[in-house]
Amino acid sequence: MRLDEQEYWKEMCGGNAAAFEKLYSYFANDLFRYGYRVCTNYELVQDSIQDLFLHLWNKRSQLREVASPRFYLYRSLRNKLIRSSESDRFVFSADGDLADNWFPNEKDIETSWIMDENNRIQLEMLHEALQKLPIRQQEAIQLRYYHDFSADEIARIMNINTQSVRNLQNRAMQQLRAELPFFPVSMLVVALLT
Amino acid sequence: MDQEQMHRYAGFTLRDFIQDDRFIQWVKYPDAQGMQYWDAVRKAYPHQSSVMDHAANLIHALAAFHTDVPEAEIEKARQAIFDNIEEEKPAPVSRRLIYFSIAASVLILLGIAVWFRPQVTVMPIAKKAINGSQGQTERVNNGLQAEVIALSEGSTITLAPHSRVKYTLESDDRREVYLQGEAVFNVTKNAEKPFYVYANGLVTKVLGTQFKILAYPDDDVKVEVSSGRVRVYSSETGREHAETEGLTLTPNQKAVYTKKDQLLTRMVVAQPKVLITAEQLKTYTYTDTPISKIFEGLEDIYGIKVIYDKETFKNCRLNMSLSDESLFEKLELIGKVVDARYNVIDGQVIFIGQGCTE
Repeated sequence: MRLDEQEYWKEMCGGNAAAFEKLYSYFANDLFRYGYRVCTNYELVQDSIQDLFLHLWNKRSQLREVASPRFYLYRSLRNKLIRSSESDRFVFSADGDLADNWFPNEKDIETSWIMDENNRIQLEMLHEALQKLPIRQQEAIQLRYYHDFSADEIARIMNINTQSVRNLQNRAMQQLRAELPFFPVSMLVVALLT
Repeated sequence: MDQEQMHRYAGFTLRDFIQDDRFIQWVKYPDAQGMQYWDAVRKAYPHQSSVMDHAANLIHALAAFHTDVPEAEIEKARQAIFDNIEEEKPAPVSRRLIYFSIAASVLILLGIAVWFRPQVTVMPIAKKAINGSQGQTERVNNGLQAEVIALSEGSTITLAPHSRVKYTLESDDRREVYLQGEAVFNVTKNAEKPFYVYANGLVTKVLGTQFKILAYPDDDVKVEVSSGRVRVYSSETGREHAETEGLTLTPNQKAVYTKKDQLLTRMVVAQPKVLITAEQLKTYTYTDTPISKIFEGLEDIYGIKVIYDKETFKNCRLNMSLSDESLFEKLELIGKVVDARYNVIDGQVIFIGQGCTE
């Protein structure tokens, strides 16, 4: 169900409001999801997404064809959020260490590992663990695995170099693996691999 | 060339796999070509096979890591954006209709054009109502945000901007609403007094349920159901048989009424909603399960029936979690795995293919 974004983008630049709405419908959910990941001020995300699209429409005649509308939108959203966010829990906070106590304690792991047949709990634990990683690590992971950006694209969205993206991801994995040692060897979610 | 590239996977660790674009791409969007390629890697480096499985599982788990955004937020932004661009530069009517029809998957608009036009005769009931019977209330929403109207009998109408309703609740045997524009109805159950919505030639009759309607002058009328059951029928066919000639809609189904041809069609909504709780949804994970069970699961989750030839598909078994993705994405995925395709006809899914070999 991939949309021909380039085509719609071009139509929008030419003033086609229907194409513009189509682009909105296609990207809105994911842009919100991205915004919510990096910024806990959901109102700000709402405002920024409105601004982003209004700006897009108002400046449509000056807009060039862009190589990837998707990339453009994510990057623009991120820049908007940066500009408007002040002291929020946000991407730009230092890439700090893990807070103490954020992983489920040993006993819980043990119990769930033994009792859990269907892996659901493990998935929840993983997500809970991810949630407590520094925001930049969470951002990189969501951009990579949920939003399907390559490491290069993520680097350009986050304004860092590609190696730093890999480092963020490696650090995240190290922390996850250190804390959830059973994880990679368990059947986690059912993959369509068979 | 592929052979050479393949060589690098011999020494890949789990960490390498989960960072390999080609591998991620395949895990998330498996296709026949990828299957062939990665099977070849497995054959060439059997020791990597379990690493690849683990990596794939991990990628699936990571891909499921995202925040949930209430649909209301997305619609709120949509409204703010499109209200503003309209103010700035009013779009011609035809264009407006285009994007209204695009928005139709999410919004339902109910319209009674006849109120505002001379040809009131097409809706005798509406005419009667307009003639100022007692106890009739009219509400117009000229604001920028949806307005919630609480009716005395407990139902609510969420009226979109630039929309209006009139309603009478006094009658002994029915509750009646006439509407132009767009509204969501949340109707309290009262089998004694059915709730009728009249819109541009279409009557929607309910006992108690939640549904949305979209009807604009000169456009089709659309009715989408979120819960309960709804009966829709044309108000323009013979009075006697009108209701029996209508359609019943269940959750995630919608009806489209083309006034010109008096044609009423049943479909599945563009974005079927999950009808069970998030907790329940998580239990719909299947390992090596017959396809019939998976289709039953889909029906539990979305209330939409999948019709297929049980004999043809009896050997198809799947591994699958039904907790992510939309109904249509899941169907597409199942279609890919068992090499089949689907059609949506009359509010149901028809699944067609050659089946699987044992």
